[in-house]
Formats: sequence, structure tokens, C-alpha cells
Amino acid sequence: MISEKDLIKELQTKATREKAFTALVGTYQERLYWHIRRIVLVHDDADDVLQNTFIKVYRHIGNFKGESKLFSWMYRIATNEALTFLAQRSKKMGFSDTEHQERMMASLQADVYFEGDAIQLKLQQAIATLPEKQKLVFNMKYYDELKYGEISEILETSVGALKASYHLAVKKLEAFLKET
Amino acid sequence: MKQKSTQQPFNTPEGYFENFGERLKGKLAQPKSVIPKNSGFTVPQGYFEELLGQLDERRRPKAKVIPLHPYKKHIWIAASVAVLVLLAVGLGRELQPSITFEDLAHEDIEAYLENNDLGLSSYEIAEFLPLEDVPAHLNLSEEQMLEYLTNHVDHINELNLENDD
Repeated sequence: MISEKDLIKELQTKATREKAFTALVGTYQERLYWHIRRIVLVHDDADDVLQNTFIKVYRHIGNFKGESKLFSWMYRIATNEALTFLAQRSKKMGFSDTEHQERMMASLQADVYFEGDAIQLKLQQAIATLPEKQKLVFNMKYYDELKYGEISEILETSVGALKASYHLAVKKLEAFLKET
Repeated sequence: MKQKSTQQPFNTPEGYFENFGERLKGKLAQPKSVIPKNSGFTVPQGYFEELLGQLDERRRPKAKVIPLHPYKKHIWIAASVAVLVLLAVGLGRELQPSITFEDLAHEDIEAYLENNDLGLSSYEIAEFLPLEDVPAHLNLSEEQMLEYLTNHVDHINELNLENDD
């Protein structure tokens, strides 16, 4: 398997860019998809955001300086794209945060690519009530199984703060699921 | 049979160490949290296989369409002219001083009131008249009153006299 350093070099070289991009998409598409999907919830939206993310990566790879890992950089782009997508939609529709969450839950229930049972739906409702940062940290730690060091690099937050956010999020979610 | 420690006077239940590993595994296997690990999301079949193709489609530069009639150039010219005209009209209006009530001549006001039916009765008009200049008692002689009534009242009914008899 090609090293990250070589992959970046190939992506930044015109002659090898296409082949390297194919390798990049193949390597990271699923991880980025699931990360995005857990933010936007609905498959069609996740597909749009994922494609935008890869297009953005392709267009800006020339400016990538390698100060962080390629994976972290892409995750950051994906996170920003997903959050911007939600914010734009909310603004366009003129919804408050609560209304927007309710709409998202309704969309999730209508999504044919959500096969969750009552507990899984309840979990999504519970996650929706978390503050943005806690939501992201919980998904990245619990589902994406990223290390605190990786999350720290992506979200540019200290490991200590991330640990606190994660434990708070877990407590809240467990309490929500137990009481309802 | 109870196992005895050779060094300490403590005992353990029979077979404690034999099944310790099994019990530990059982404990570890128990779910730690009520939060389900499977979030219930799925993707369409073959989605990830087709993603690269869709991305290629989006990255491909679109063929440039050359219009047969490049009307856009004319639209810009027309729009520019329209903006200039609107600006000129707007500025012209801005430069004209606005007319205030004081600028109206009394004759104009009187002519307007005479020529336009305002739908106001005499009593309603009277309400707007200033009372400061009206003397409390008019010292009119009987002859003056009769002369005024003769000259100004055409119909006796207009006086609204109450006839008790």
C-alpha cells in the first residue's frame, strides 16, 4: 500500500494525479462517508457532501503543506462541508435550531436507507440534542473509533477537552436512553 | 476442598482459580453501555463502487457552448442604459424642492375647498375654526340681524327654528 507521503506527492504531480486520486477515493470514501452521514443523517445529503469534499480535496491538494496528516485534513474538510451544508439549509428554510432538528428526524425516518429500530432512532434523537462539539466528538470516538490524538488534530481541540466532551456526551446519551 | 495459601492465612472458594478466566471473559463480554454500536444507517447497493464514476463526471470540464446569437452583450448594454436613465430621473426628482403647506397661496386653498366636495358639514368645519378671535357676545342690533338674515338666508327652514305651536 502506498504511503501517505507518496500519495500526497503523486496527487500534487500532474502526471500522476488521476491515478493517485482514484487511490485516495478508494482508501477514504467509506470512512469519510460514515463521518458525514452521522452529521447530516440522510443518505442523499451525505452523498452530496461527500462528493463536494472529494472535489474540494482534489482542487486544493496543491496547497496542502503536510502540516497535518492527509487523513486529518480531509476529515476537517468533510466536517466543515457537512456543518456548512446543515447551516445553509437551516438558514434557507428559516428554521430555528429546534425546528431544524425536528425536520432532520422526520427526514431520517423517511430515509429508505435508515433501517434503525426504535432504540437506534431514539439514539439519533438523543445525539441531536447534544451541543455541536460533543456530537462530533461522540461520533468520532464511539463510531469512527478515532483516537483522541487524531480527533484533536481534526477539530483542533486539546485532548483533555475532548475527553471531557466525550464523557459528558456518553452520560447524557445513556441518561436519555434509560429514561425514555 | 479448600485451598490454603502457603504464605497467608486466607482461603479462596473451591475452584476459584480454575474458572476465573471464564468468569472474567463473561464480564468483559457484557455490554458496557446502553448505546447501540450499530447506528442503523445503510447505503444503496453498489454506492461506493459507483462513487468514483460520479466524481469523474463532476470533475470533467464541461464543453463550452458558443451561442448562435450572442444577445447577452446587448442585454448588458440595454441594462446599462436603463440604469443611467433611472439614475438621471432619480437625481432630477431629488433636486426638486418638496412643497410644504406654507407654500400654498390662500387663494389656492379656497379655490380647492370651493371646487371640491369634501363631504364636510358646516358643524364639522366649525370644529376646526379657532375660537380665540371670536367674541363671547356679539352686540348686534335687531336691524342688523334682520338685514343679515334677509341677505343670507334663502329658506326659512335652514334656520332650524323650533315651532312649539
